[in-house]
Amino acid sequence: MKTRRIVQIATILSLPGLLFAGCTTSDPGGTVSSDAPPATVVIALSQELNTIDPTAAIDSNSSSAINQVYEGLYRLDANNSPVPAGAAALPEVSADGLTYTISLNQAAKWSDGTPVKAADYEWAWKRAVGLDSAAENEVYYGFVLNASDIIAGNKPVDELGIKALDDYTLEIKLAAPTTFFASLLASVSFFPLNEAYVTSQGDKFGSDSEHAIYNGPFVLADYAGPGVGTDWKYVKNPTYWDAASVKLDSIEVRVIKETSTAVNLYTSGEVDQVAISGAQVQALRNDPGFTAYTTATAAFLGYNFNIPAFANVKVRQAISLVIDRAALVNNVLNDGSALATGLVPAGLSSDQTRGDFATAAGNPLETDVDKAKTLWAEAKQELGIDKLEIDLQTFDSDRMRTVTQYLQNVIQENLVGTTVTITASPVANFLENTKSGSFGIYLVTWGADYADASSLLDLARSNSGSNWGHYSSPEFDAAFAAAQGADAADSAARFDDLLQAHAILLADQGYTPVYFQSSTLLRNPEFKGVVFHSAGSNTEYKTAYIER
Amino acid sequence: MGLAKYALRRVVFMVVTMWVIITATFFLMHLLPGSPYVNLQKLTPEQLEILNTRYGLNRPILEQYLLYFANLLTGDLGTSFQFKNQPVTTLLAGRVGASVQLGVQALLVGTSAGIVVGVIAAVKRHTPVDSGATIVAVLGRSVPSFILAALLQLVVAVNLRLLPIAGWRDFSSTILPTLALAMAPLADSARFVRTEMVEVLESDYAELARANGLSTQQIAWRHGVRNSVIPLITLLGPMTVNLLTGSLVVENIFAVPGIGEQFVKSVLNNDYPTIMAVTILYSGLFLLVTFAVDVLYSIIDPRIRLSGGGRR
Repeated sequence: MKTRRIVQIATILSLPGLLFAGCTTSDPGGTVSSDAPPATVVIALSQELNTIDPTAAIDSNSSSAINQVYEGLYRLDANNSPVPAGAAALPEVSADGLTYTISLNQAAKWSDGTPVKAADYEWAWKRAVGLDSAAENEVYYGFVLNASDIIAGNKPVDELGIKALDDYTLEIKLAAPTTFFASLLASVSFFPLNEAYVTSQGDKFGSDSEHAIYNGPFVLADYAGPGVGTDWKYVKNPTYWDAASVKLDSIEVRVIKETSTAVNLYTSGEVDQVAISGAQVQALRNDPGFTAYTTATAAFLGYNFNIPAFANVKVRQAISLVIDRAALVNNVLNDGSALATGLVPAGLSSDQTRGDFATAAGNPLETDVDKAKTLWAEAKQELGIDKLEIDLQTFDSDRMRTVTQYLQNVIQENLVGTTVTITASPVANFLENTKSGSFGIYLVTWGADYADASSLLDLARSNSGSNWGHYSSPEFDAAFAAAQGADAADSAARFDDLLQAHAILLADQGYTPVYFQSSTLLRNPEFKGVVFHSAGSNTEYKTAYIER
Repeated sequence: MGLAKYALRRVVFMVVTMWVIITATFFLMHLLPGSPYVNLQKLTPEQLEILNTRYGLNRPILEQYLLYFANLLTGDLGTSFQFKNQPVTTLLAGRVGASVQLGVQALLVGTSAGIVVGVIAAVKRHTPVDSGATIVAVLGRSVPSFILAALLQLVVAVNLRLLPIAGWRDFSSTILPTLALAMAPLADSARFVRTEMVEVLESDYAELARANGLSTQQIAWRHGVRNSVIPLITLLGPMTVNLLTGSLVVENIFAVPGIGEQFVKSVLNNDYPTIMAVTILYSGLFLLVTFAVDVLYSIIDPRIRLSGGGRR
């Protein structure tokens, strides 16, 4: 009886001890010293990295990180033009535009000191198209000869259009002439990998910062792995060929998902850069650190062309004409979003003589309620209807809700007889509905995959897999096909073709542009030299520095 | 029935329960619309087909289930779709620690403080002290933890600069999230202990103790606490699970690298292996905690009979 009692008491007493077992806290003495080296910045990211394997990266968050620590044949400058990096010069292109010969930069080294050779590119690309996830990146690899067939399993990997002619010369064969291929080569998908190292690591490759070697301006450090690492560093890479241009000693990255927390850290001086959005932009846009970049992401309306009302061009034009895009971005959203002038945002692609695509295309999108009412009246007569129920679908986000509510208002108010029903579903449901054609109109945001207008204009091609509403215009198709075919090797003619295709699309309102998305952030005004790209690997710190 | 026999019986039930949960989740999960690919929006039907073939997702669902189960038995929970090449066991192992530590700290702080508040409220019942304790309890139960978290962060970390704003680096960075999460268990246990304690203090044996010359305080701490805390153990099970699963928002606010958000995200992204692994982890924890509480209960309180399916 007595022992039993002791056991009982011991059990009660040990309860907290049991609960405490196995939950040691990290070293409380590990405080950060205040005299950190001067050339260090701290940035907050809102998401973990999905991967640090260049050939497996799909999202821009991972691509941006990879771009700090790896390097491909070219880097993009502030104007999105390719500058030699892993290559010694711009490519030599054959007359038919199909063969690219590139001499490599012989000073480029891996972080273990071995040189980056042509075979590293060939091996990495062949590995990439053989990965299970390859189809997710077909949008990039598809430009290379036979890549699509290899990804579909119809050809062996050996037939990929890349060959190391010698240690420092690479020959690439394309599936079709592509004038912007050199800038595409700046995408992480086309980065090299060191065969000997990667094969020696097996599954461990890229599992954390220690299981990889790098060839970029920085090397990755203290990274625990995809989905696990929430703090890491980019440390200046001493073996980098252009180390003299790299001014920061290290960049510390912290994953902070709650933007208000990130802003608190920024205002208290603990981090030098945080992304903000929505209401925070309204509150903080006068902060000296406020920065906004136009991204290559357009928000637009897509129509279901199987529904007679939306197949009527006057209905689509009327809808476009009632949208006051300036009021939408300045008064309704007021979150840094930019005025839509078409489907292609400024800064995405340009021609040497004609300049920026968006500038050359002008702004044919007008607001004219009277004209809209006339068109709508005519359309009603043509269609033999006096009422129209519009099933407007979008995905669930604050901004999408705000925009669809604005659209609902202006359409119902000005186009008499219309009733707009908004459905904002989770992304997966939204995609299920739109891809299967069960919608009237959808509002979506779409980012360009690479710095060329065709990346967005492809949406309007009759047999494009992303043309969910089945818009089909022979004139558009002809202009777009000319750009991708007959004029593909002639960048000026191609530019004209794409401008023409864009103009046809807007006159037709095959898609109705609504606004351009911006990337808004707070950045310590002393933290300078960061290069932003509107598509792909957004942020580059190679030339960033701290001004004292 | 002996403890060993009872435990064995419970373990068998747990295994069966686990199997039902895994099976139900597996089939329900595949009813979700969408696919687990990161850039689903841009994939053409042809690309989707290739990916589904590569990952075996277009095989008959029963075949996928059997394959999953066979792998599960060998300890292979698969590889995450979102986090490329990352085995979900590594993914969870890397994140469960912070969640568990936070949950346990909050549970300990919450229940210990709750016991003290409850006892004081009972001893001083029907006085302003009791009312004060009731207010604390009501607030703790009704103010959502994320409001408290944001408030603590603003006042203690941003304005007073006493503790770190966010992160999970040393013990000091764990204090604010712990406090934010501890309020709910504090409130629950304070109300619970007060009720039990009032009953004890008004019982015949307390009357006898008082007749023997013990003060109310002595009766409360010497006889009351044990008798009123034992039933509290019943609450520990659900409280623990609530803390482990319910810390999502608090983890986000204080940038705690825990598991909370991973689960929600894996469902939204159709990351099948992660959904399964997190479900297995949480339900396993739940079953284990319930089991441990039942066994503890029977050890601590000899009046509990180990029979049937356990205590009711």
